[in-house]
Order: sequence, then structure tokens, then C-alpha cells
Amino acid sequence: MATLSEQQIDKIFDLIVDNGVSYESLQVDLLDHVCCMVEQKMDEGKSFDDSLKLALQEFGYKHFSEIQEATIYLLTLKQRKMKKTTGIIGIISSLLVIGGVFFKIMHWPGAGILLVIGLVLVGVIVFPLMATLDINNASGKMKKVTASIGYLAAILLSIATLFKIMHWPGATITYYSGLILLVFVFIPLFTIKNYKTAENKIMAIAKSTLILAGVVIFWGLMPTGNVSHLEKTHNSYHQRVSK
Amino acid sequence: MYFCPMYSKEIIKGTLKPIILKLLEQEGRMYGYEITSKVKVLTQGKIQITEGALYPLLHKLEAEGIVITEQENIGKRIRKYYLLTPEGKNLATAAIDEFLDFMITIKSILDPTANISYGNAK
Repeated sequence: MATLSEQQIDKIFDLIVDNGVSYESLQVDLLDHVCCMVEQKMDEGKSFDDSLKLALQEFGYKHFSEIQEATIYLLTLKQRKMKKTTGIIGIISSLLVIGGVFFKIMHWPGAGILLVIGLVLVGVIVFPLMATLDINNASGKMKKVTASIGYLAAILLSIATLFKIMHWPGATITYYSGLILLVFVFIPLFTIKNYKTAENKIMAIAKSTLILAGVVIFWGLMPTGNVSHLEKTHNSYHQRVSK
Repeated sequence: MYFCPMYSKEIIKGTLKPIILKLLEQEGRMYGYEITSKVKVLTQGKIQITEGALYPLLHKLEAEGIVITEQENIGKRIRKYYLLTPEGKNLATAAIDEFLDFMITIKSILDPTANISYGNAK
């Protein structure tokens, strides 16, 4: 049985890499596979160069990158399905929340049920699914931690909004935990990461300040106390009308 | 799919997984090239598994926890052996039984006069 020298193995490895196989685990498989093919032909009495040429002809140069594509396709199939489901539920729940707020402003019946279903979908299904996808895809521990904290804050805030709208107990504590997590943990981590990697540093800071502005608007307009400014106006209006 | 000199693509589709599971169940552990040559020998060259079908499937089975790999150094290169996990063994038995049952069903439609048995019935 023919055995290949180190140089010959290196040559085959370079060929595999040059033909577009970058996935390490697959490189190992294909290197051994092509080496076996070459060795078999050498056992039949051919030279290394002839055997390699024949093996590659049999294998097909185009085949290398196709195998990698097929492997990645199969490995990510589940994730692509999950992304699709998340996307569909995400759109439906956002529309429900938007509809709910609109109904509430217009004082139409059914606002409560729309908001409850929408916010439950967002907080319990959409954000956790998105978190799973993003955390799995994130490269590096830092990115994973940042994503986890960001989504945790988002889940807390959407649940707090639901509780607040429905006047359920525990809204305020959930709301502040989410807010503190978002402002004092997520935004600093996000800013540091973005600032380090961004080509345009000012743009990176702008992104963070815009998120902060969004949070401040949300915080400023969200009724946090027992009776908000908005509700006060609303109540006094009703009192005047009923008089 | 496979490169297959004897059978059409439509027939072959879906048979690769039971074939690989059966071989791994039987042999304990195998590496990729070994699987392709074993199938070629067993089927007298009627079925030749291509690398393009084999490796993507093996990696998928690994990701699903059906097989695990053991690595051995062969000179400068690494040989990856694939073997069934306990969960994979159960799945292999089920997949093989399902496929055999399927073949009997198809045979009963396509060739109803033949009295076939697969070793159990006499």
C-alpha cells in the first residue's frame, strides 16, 4: 500500500483550499478522501503526479466548492426555517401592537386584546427566538454577552409595557430593570464594541446616542408613576365632560 | 445526489441515509472513503456514492447528534472515523426497518404476483 510523503499531502491540501474549501472540518474529510484515491491509483502502479491528476479528474475540480455549499446548506437548514418563522411572527406581532396602540388612541373597542396578544408574542416568542439566533451566530464571547443583555432588556421592556397597559402589578419593577439593563449595561457594551470596530468613529457614537434618544423618548412618554401626565389630562377632560 | 450508473435519480433519492446508517451500525466506525468503496463493492458498482452527497450528509448527522467522530493521525493527515451515538443506533434501526417495510409495500404494488419474504416469513 502506497503512503504519501508530507510534501505530497501538503500539495493535495493546498489544492483543496485553493478550490474553495474553507470549512476546516470538511478540509480534513476531503484531504483524507483524495489521499485515499491517490494512494489507490499509486497501488495500481501509477506515479504520484499521474494518480493525483486522475483522482482530481474523477473528483471534479468544481466538486470541491459544491460539497462545501451543500454541507453549509444542510447545516443551516434548521436555522433558515427558524429565521423564517421568527420573521413571520415578528411582522404579525408588530402589526398587532401598532394596531392596538392606534385602536387605543381612537378609543375603539378591541385595543386591549390586540396589545396583549401582540406584546405577548413579542416578549415571549419573537425576542427569545431572535436572541437564540443572534447568540448562536455571534462570534466571540463579548458579542454573545452584549446580544443576550440587549434581548433580555427588550423582553423585560415589552412585558413591562404589557403589564402597564393592562394595569397588572409588577409593571414598574420590570420596567426599571429593563431600562437600567438597557442604559447602563447594553448601551455601554454596544458603544465600546461598535467604536472599536467602526471605520467611522463619529457614526458609531451617533448610533449609540440615537438608541439612547429612543430610550429617553420611551422613558419620558411611558406612564411610570401611578397617574401619568397623559392620564391626568385625559381624566380631567372626562371630568369636565361629565359635569 | 449519487453518481449512479444503474438507477435513476428519482429512485435513489432518500436511500443514502439508511445506507450510511446501516453500514455504520454494521461496521462500528468508518471513514468517508471507506463508506464509498464499501457501497461500491456491496452493490457491484451499481451504486456509487459521490463525495458531494456523502460528506454534507455526514456533517448534518454529526450536527444532529446521530454520529460522532474519532480522529486518528495517518502520517501527516487526519482520518476522521464516523460512528453512531446511542441515539443514532436507535434511529438507524428505525430507519432501516422503515425502509425495508417501504420496499415490501412498493413491491406489493409493482409486482403483486411475487411472493416475497425477507427472511422472517417462510
